[in-house]
Amino acid sequence: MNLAQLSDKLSSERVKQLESSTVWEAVVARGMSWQEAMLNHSAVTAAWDRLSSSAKGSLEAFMLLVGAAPVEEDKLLAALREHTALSGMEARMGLRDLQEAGIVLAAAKVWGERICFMPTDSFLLWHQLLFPCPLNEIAVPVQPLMDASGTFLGAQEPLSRRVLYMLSALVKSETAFTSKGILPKKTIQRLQEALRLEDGRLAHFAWSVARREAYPLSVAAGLAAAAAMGLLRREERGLNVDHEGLQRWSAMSDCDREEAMISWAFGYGLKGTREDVHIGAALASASAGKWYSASEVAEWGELLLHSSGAASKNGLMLDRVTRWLTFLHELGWMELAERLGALEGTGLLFRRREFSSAIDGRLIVQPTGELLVAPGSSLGMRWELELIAERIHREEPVLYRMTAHSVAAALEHGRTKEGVADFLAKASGEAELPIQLESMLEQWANRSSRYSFTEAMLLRCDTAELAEQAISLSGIAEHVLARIGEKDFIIDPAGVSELRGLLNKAGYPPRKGIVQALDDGGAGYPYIADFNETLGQTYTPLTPDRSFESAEWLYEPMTLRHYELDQTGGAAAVTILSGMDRVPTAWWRQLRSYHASTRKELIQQAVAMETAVQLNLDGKLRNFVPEQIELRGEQWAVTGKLIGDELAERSRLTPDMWEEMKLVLPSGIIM
Amino acid sequence: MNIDGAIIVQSDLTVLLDERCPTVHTAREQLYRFAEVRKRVGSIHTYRITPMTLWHALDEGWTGEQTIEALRTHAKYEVPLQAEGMIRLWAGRYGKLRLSAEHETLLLNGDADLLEALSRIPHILGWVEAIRSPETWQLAPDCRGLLKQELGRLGYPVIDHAGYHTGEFLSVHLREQALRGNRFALRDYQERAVRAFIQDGAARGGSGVVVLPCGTGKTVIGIAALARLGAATLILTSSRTSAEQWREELLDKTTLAEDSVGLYNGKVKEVKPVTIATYQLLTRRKSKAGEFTHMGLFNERDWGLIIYDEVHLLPAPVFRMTASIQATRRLGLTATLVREDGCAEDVYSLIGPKQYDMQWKEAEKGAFIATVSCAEIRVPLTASQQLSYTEAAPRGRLRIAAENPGKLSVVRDLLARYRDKQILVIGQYLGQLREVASEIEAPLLTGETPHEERLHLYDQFRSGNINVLVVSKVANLAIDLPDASVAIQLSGSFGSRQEEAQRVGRLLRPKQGDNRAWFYTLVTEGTKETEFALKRQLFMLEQGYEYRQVSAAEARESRLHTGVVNG
Repeated sequence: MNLAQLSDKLSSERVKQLESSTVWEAVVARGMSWQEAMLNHSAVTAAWDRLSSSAKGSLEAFMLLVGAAPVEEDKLLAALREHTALSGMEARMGLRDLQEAGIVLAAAKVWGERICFMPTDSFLLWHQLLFPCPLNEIAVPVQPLMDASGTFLGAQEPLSRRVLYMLSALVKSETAFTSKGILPKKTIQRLQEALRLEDGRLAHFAWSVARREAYPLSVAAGLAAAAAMGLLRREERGLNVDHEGLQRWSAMSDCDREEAMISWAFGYGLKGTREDVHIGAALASASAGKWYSASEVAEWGELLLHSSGAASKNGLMLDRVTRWLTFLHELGWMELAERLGALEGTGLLFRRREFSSAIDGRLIVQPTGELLVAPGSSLGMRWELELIAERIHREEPVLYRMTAHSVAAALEHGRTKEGVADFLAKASGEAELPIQLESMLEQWANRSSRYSFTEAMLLRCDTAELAEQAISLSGIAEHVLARIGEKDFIIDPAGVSELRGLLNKAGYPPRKGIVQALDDGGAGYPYIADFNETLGQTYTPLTPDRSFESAEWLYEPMTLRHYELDQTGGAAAVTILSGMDRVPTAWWRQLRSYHASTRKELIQQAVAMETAVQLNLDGKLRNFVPEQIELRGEQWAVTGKLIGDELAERSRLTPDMWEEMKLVLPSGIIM
Repeated sequence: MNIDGAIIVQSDLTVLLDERCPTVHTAREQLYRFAEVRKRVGSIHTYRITPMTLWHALDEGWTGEQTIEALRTHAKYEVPLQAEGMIRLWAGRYGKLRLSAEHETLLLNGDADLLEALSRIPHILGWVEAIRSPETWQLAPDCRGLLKQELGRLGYPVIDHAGYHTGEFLSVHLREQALRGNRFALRDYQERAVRAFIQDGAARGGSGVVVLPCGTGKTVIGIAALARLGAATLILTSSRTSAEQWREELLDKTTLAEDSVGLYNGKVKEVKPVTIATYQLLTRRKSKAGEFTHMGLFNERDWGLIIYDEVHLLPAPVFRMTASIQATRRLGLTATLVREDGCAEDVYSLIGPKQYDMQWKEAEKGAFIATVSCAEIRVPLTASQQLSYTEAAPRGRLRIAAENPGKLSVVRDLLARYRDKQILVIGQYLGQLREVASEIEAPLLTGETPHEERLHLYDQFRSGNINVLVVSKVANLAIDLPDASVAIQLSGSFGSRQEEAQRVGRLLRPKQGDNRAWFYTLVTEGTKETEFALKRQLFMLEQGYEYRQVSAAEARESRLHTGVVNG
């Protein structure tokens, strides 16, 4: 779940609560909302400085140990106790602080099982802040990679563009579901051809395709992405392009559109293994337009993993990096290369692609009917071209050609010759079209769609006499468009209910149903109005509903759709320092030497409160988190974590091993 | 983004040149070095870099890195990595393999790693007689052409320095005054082309291709090369008419006597010191699996030079034969190196590298070719003809549209307008042509016209004794009517693109005076004929011509004078 989805689900009271957290105090004072702050680098940095040490420790451990996938709260706390220097109480308090600030959120099922998670998009920012991958630009000549067939591997079309092609294929295809509730096979094939995504390159991550027997991974991914962007409308009988969604989507720049897609795709990629999470976050932090080394990212990943106490198999991390890069390359967001002159398979380099943040491309109209679309051109223009011309070349500048066939198809779906000509003139910024093209348009349009079959509503009368009678009734004639023969009238469909009323009133109630009802079907191609003038409209992809529609094609890993978001604040499950009122003040105020039985009692209290003790061990003060007391007759010992330099060491201590001691209360506790 | 960039490079090495950009001239000059024009239409012209175009550039001393740098300098957007990769790959293979002769022995010298890799290809190894060292192979003497062809197809050009034999001596000189009386001298670019081909007899020269636009005198370059080398020559042409024109030109412009120049065609088969044959005859055989009965012509004399006219039309069997005569000098003449059959590399390997070329714009600028204005005139049918048209069967409709009697008055208008010009009226249907010829009182030339009469009519037309000639499809073939300034196409053969290109090409030869020419195509409005005309014009647009479209009424109002010109 990302921030936009969350914002939609959180109550305004809860959002206010989050924004009142001391963590966000400064940025909220500057007028930033919680949602904005969570995606703002400087706001996140400021928030980090304001977090308690417990929260910092918990957050670091959460990201390192769990990643971006949702996790049960109990398991998370156990992991924090197990793998960090935090005491149980510190872990609980840290998590509570994070939940109060909305950095970590919780959702629960009715029976109380709580799940903790971080918003996917904000996760990347926090990860990059806490575990920055030092990417160094590789400024050397590069050469493209070559595949096994000896073909150079080039940049792929970005996913948004492919989704656009898929949608245009969809509006030209049969979209009613079959009896099995899926799209027709031929339509699926067309979508697959339009997308041109290789399943093999997507399959590096564990995508879970719904209806996998019908939908190839590429089509499921394309439909899921489109649904997530609000571009599809599922209807009772089939699937349609959401015209309003498409209109809004087209108002975005290429850059923003791809960012939304990347965010959607990372929502799946970051739910993988820990290695995947770290590598994904590192790659997402790469600046556009610069070459970086894949092996440097892998080395950094290994170090990070090592620092969290885990080890990776030799070469595993580089394999993960390569998988991510292959995936991002296939979706058109990353370019791959190697150092010029490098031996084959060595020195893999990657570069994040730049996309235009302005919508300013002009269409070049050639006299032959060839149409060249410059990079940065509006999506609305591209959409229209998809519908009136044939795409010849997908590379920038994308080449279309108007043909007799494409023009005929456009006319068939509601376009007009004048409309097409106006569009071309407007899109090219030229006062008039090349005379040759005008002539061709004239030629092609001259014969197409000059005859048509129009659905109409008939008022059918049993006899000619009844027809005469009907037309003479007051109010009937104004709804009649034409009379056909003696007994039938073509009527305005909008006037049916009024006609029905008039006939009822006259004592001739008509049939209740409409005989052989004609379906309007909404067959025309959708228009994107004013394709050059829609910039500036706001558009938020990935609202919760869209996400759930998306899940119709691709199952969400660890979906939260069956959980209720915690709207109360994170502290509900944290009972801080229970029994503290029974603890003598001296136990936590000063370091003292105690009798053996008191030592045991104090340790027992620390275990119960899940807090640490400070011990004088061989003249050095060390913090120790007791976890369990072992009894052997009169003798006892305690096992737990001995803390030194932020690292925890599993230890077993007997009471004779330390001198003075005291309870350590988590920072921020004022007694 | 480089806003001043005039080109857009695509990953498949298609290069789009924006003619509206202020830096287009410099960019175009650079592109000419290593790319070929594919389409010249509207404001965006399409070029393509292929292994062959790059090798031609490298032959001229250009480098792969210079090519990449030139693309980067002029590119509006970043040059795709694959494009750079392909250029480096192709350039990296150039010059790695060289053929040389040591006495009578043929040697292949090359990079040791590359030769090692090639030794794994069995049929290449089959031509190796001995491996003298990792860098030098001794080859079978008869494999010179086949080896170059095969390696060329694999993407490895071979530099051939194995030299040529001189062939049978022929005493011949260019005349300073042609037999017809005109003063004759090579134009500067023709002289440069001949020198580039001969290269003072160096092994590097002596074989290759000269690329010049239609109408710039490729035949003269062939004749001059023949005269410089002074050797028996076999000339291969694309048609019988063209062969006869070669013969006339040779006799007109050289000291060769009639008995030294032979035609080798369906009618006569003379093998003389200079013999002119057609590709069609050479590739004739009795059955599909049979022998090419006339291919022996290649060995019937000790030819010192073989000229391949319209080398882009060279058929595969002639390529095969050419592979076996690599010690003979070879000159290819063409207006384009673009081949639709994917055999462009074979031209490079077997005929030789591009030795000289001149672009259309340059030729037009130098007034070496005429500036042609093209227009389509739409002629309506009368109401009764329209009815007949609607009721007719599909083929009948085409005929009705093509033979629209309304076209005659437009022809008359045009004849009146261009009364001082040499005019061809071209058509598809004999009945229509006869009627038009009779109405305008002009001679008619068809396939049925006896050859002698045809030549006589050409002469009359050329000399200006007659200024209008009505011709049938024969005009599509390579006839040479140098003084035709206006062509009026009454009807065409459906959508044949080549036909229209040839008809327009006929007008390109330079004209006296303002050096202009006009091409009019008459089509019947609202019929299938306009659709076919449209298809033909699309092709012409891609070739760089532009068309105006006017109605017959507009044409009558003399609006044609503002005609657009070829690009």
